[in-house]
Amino acid sequence: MKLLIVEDHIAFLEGLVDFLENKLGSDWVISSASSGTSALQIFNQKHSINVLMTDLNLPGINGSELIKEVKNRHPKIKVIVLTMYYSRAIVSRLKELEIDAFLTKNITREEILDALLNINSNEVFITEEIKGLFKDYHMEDAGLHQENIDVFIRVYSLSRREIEVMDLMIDNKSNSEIGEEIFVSSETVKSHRKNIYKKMGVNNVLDLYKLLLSKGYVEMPTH
Amino acid sequence: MKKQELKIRNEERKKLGRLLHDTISNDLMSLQFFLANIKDNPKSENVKDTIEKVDFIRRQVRSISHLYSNELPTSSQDKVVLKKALKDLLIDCANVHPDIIYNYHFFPKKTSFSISKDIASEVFMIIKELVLNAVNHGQCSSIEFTLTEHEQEIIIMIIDDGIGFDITKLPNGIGLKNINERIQSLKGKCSIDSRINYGTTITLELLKSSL
Repeated sequence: MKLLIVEDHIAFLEGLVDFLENKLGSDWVISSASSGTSALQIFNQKHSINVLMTDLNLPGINGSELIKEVKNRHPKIKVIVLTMYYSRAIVSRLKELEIDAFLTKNITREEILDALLNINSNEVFITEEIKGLFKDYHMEDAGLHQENIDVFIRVYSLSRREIEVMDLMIDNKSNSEIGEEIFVSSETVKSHRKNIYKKMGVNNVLDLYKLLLSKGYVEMPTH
Repeated sequence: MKKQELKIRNEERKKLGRLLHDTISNDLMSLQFFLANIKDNPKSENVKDTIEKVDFIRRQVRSISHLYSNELPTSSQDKVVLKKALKDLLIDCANVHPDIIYNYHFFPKKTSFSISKDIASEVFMIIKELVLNAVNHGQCSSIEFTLTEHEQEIIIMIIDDGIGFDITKLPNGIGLKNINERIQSLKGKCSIDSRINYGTTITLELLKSSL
């Protein structure tokens, strides 16, 4: 098997490559790239890569553009997404790209190994904590029991519900539309919105979107 | 009105009785087993387990008395730090209902907004009623609690994933009807969103200048 890992945090990348080379043995050949552009160059040179493991937030060509391009050229390639941030918007875009595994960066290396070894099974491998995002969205599905895992909760002190509301806000939904989805009044959504702006240090949804974009929590829509 | 009050008081007593039975009485029974175990097998581990059990029961009794008395646990100062008092309340709830997951988010993290004792006891009566309602009747498995300090107001939200209720038919004995009056006297707002099977969201907005 030939694996390409794309990741712009060099220290993380090197550690991961070392670990995987050790564990996977000689059946696997691992190469790496630190940007989407250099990943595409590698694809231009070597046609035989079977598995692409990539971060989403990459300089130059971002992760999902890379996946789209590679899938176009090599429809049979297996794709693993490894990311720090995730949102409902990202997950639904990735679902369209038919990726094979979705991993968040707080998991152990063993779990990454596990995903690689099971890459040929037909099941999509998803980190436990974000399984809820792949289902119909309800609070209890979103992995409430796994408090403190989410980067956003730690850094910005957002609650699960606030993250849920924020995901809907950046889809540009109105207070009453959001209220209908989570079964509360638009007045209550207004309070959530106020709290979210305060916690994120912004005044409107555009600035919120820009901030989330810069953090890689949302991606620039590709047109 | 008198009749209604009496009914509510009876409900409260029944609740308290049931709670004592479900928690303390069961725990004392298991303590009995622990002690019998020491008698047969006086290992230090067994003693340690028993001491832990006693401590657990002590905390439970203390928390029940906090939750069911109308006094604020922190009564030595004139001012009450909102964040601390809320945290204490959640700790009490967690001691009495350890099966529920409590998540809380205070913002800013070091918020130290304090209010006078009179108002605090008023505000806490309300919050306590809301939380107790969620944990005692709501059959929830988790509660999310946020306090966010803004320039002019404090927003407190309590969200549970319990059975919810039809807000057009307020349940008896909870005192939700009185809450709005009390909040209004503090120049604040209180709203309750609930739908059967979709949990309950309670929002309290309190004007800082009136606290």
